[in-house]
Amino acid sequence: MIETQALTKRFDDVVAVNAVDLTIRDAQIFGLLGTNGAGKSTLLRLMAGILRQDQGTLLLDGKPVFEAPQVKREFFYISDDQYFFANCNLEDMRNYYAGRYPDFDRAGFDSLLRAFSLAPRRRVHTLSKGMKKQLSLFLGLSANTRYLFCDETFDGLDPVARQAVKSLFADRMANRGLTPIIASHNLRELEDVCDTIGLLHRGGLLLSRELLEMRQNVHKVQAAFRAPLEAEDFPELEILSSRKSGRLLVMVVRGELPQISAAVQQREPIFFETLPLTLEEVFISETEVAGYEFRNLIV
Amino acid sequence: MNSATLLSSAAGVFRRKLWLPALYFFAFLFVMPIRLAMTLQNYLDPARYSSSEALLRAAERAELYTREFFSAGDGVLVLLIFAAFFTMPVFFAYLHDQRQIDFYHSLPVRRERLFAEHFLAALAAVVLPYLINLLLSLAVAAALGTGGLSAGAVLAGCASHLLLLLSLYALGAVTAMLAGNRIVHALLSLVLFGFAPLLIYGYVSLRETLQPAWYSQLIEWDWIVIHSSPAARYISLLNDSYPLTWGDVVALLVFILLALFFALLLYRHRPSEAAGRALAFPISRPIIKYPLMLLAMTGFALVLYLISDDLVWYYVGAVLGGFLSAQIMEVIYRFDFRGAAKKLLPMAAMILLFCGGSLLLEHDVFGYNSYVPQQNVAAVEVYFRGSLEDYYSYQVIHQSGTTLGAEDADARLRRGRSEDPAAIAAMQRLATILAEDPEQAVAGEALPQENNNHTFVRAVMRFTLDNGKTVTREYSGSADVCTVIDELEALFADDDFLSRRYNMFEAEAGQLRLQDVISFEDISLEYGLQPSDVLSYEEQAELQRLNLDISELLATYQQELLAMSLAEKLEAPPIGRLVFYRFQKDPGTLELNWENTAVDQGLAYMCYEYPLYAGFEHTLALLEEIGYPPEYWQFQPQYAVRAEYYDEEADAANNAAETDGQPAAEVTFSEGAAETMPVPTLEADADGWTITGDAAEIAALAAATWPADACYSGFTEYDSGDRVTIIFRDEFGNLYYQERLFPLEH
Repeated sequence: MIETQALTKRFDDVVAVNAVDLTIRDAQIFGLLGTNGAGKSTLLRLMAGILRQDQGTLLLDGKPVFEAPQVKREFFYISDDQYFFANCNLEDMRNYYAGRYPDFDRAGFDSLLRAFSLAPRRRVHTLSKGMKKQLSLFLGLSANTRYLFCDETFDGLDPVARQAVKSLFADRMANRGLTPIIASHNLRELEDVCDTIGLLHRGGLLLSRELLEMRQNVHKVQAAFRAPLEAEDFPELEILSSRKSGRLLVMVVRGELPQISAAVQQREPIFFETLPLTLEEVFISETEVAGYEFRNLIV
Repeated sequence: MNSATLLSSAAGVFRRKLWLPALYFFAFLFVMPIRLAMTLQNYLDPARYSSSEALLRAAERAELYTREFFSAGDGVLVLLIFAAFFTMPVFFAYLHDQRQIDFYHSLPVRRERLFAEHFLAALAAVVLPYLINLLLSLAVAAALGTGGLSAGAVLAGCASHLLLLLSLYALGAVTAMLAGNRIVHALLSLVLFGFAPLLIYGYVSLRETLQPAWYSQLIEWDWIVIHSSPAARYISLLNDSYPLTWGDVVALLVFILLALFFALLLYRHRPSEAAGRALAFPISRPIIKYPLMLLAMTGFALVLYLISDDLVWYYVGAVLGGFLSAQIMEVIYRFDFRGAAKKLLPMAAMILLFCGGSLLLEHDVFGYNSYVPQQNVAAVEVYFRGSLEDYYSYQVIHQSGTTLGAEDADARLRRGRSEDPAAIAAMQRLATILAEDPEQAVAGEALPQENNNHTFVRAVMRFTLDNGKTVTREYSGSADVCTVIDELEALFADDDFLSRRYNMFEAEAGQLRLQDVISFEDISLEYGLQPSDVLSYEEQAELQRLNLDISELLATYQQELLAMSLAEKLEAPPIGRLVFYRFQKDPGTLELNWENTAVDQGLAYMCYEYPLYAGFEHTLALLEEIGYPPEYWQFQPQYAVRAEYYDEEADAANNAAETDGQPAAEVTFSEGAAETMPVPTLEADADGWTITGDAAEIAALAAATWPADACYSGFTEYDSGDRVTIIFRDEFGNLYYQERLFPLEH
């Protein structure tokens, strides 16, 4: 488990990560969501022990990460622009990481290369951007660490590769409890991958929730009433947002569906139905409640 | 288990930067085995020599060259210094690149380990090519048959190279940790390698400029400079003056350990986000900036002062240097030209501080320049500048560190020591007079010829107080000798002073060899010219009589020299000088070898040049008796004179054509022309005139070309573009040049 408390990192006058309290439980895929400059990469680099925090604590299984090789063996960090040695080939990189990570699975790495038709002797600089991302992921997965930190790693992967990576994640999660932590600025990249999402804005953590919980707890209802009812006429409901079009009232409501239905039925609607919420709509609602305009936070 | 060992990881780093050791390998290949092979082949080629003896000598020289090659090797040294400067930025480049930092620092490896891997790889990148080429060079030496190489000497040479290289590397590692990007890394390397020596030289120059009485013993400062930086220490090995001692080895080892420890400490605290910045640690900005600013202010101030000889320009230089250096550094720190407008107040304060300090020194607010200790003086040591030094030089040609010791700047003072109370009192009076500088008004102006500076006295004095402390001043004022003759005579009346002054006579007769007798041209003396005005451009023929018995000559010469009073010396300047060599061993057993005197043979000798006066009748007679008649060494009364005329146009043309000193016209004086043509003229025909006559005729010519109102202020300064060089040639073909400044009558 990764825990941070009041984690803060400044770059001169800029507060890149601001008093972040976060808990990432094992064996789930955690998504770090935020716009450019929100602090996702900095948070990941803090977690990877590259940066030293100015304030707060960051513990991995209860131990500090910075300059702790034993702790660092528990994760593999993939940056958004991963470095490979000049003029090296895939084997060279495999051998290098094998020297650094005691449990590195050479055979597993080779089989991944075969599966994705990557020649081990091919020079890294001849690979496309997406192939380099794949290579980084293969190296990370073969390192056999418990955590995998991915910074914008899915950016550039084609749908087939994304699906394959999801399968690989699922397999590793099932077999050895891998916990991938994926930072991205794109909600759509994460919504079909992650179990939990943390939303960062200006260095601060706005929310951190399990997607399923969020989806189960927030509902979109639309109903038409004879009387001209407004959202304010439903004081018993926790309405996150509402919109009225003629007699049709559309509300995003937090709470249990039966209670919400009962409240609406009680006002004898002419028409009433519940609608599926996209992840984006869930986030819009949640962040607006927090006082933010979601479209300013995320693309 | 996959874990790599430190060495295998370092080998990995080495392989990834293989291009650099490959380059070094080829550089060493040319500098070491190929160069050695070509040089030895040249030495040992029989076709180049006409006699077997010459070939034999060449073989000896080849052997000496080989020995020298393996013990020092200037090419190797230059290459290793270059490598030390260039290698670290390559191997620690990852610190200056954000991608690489993220990569390396996310790995489960301690920073100490990363540091060790890259440091070892960087070391191997230079050491391996060097060692391979060292072995190849040994093979070359063996193949070409030059023996006499001892394994110890080769190992010692190799070890000293590696030790100094390691010390430079350790410093380079500190630089790598301080710098945030490659450009600053390179600049900072230059700063750290050369900062301390430059700062010391700046300090010395500053005090010499602003405190004329400050006596800098340059050789001691040289020692400090050389030991202030591993780079300077390394470069000092290029000459034999400062060979590595065991003390140096220990000091270097301590330095290496401390520097590596410091570098590691910095690395541990180095923020990863520093990659790409100018400096990794913001606190180091002022620490680097302000000393550099000080250096720049000193440098600019001194350079402008040297050019202008005006202290106003000194302060202009200080302001300019301070401003430029501060603003350039701010721009570098911020990578933004707008940085030039930052930190103006601290810059102004620093400049004000520097100029204020300079003003205090310049105006001698603390009375440093005029201080003369008046009481409790136990001894005085005096070194007279100029003619009172009797024209002898005292220098070490080669020094082995044995009993003869080194002649340093202090030696002249030590030779002028007196503990006689009368002499001490006299020197206190003289110091007070010099501090007041009675001739300042005259000296500051252009002096007429008859006031040539041989009639003035300047002195460096060191007073030893009763409590053992010393006060040393170089009194920069001057006084006419006639006004202080009593003080001087009081000092010269002290026999102990005289015996120290002419300490050559302490040597055993067998240690001394008469090397040469050289005349001071009587024309110069007759007209009050300094011998230094007459420069001999051709080497004097050396006497080369190694086994000559000179004991009687020495005794006679000593007697006549010590018997001569100071007043007599001043009235009749010397007619020549005797050149003696003093050896450690019996000179009969040694051979002179100017090029390759082997220090390890303990061969060392000093050169004494003592004055010879016309009144030394017995000495002159003995010289003739042992084979040196006056006609052999004195200036002969047969002269050919050629005058070369220069003017501004000719100089300008020479400069434009990049030719050196071609005269506008050459005028040769014909026989007997001195009476009718005392002044060179351009109207002479192309064939010119030739004059053959005695010294008096030439003297008349020289006198005529030297009007009383002409200005003479040394060789380097001219008030007009017109000057004439008169070249005298004696019957032996020796050339003597005189330059005169005077208004030509065209």
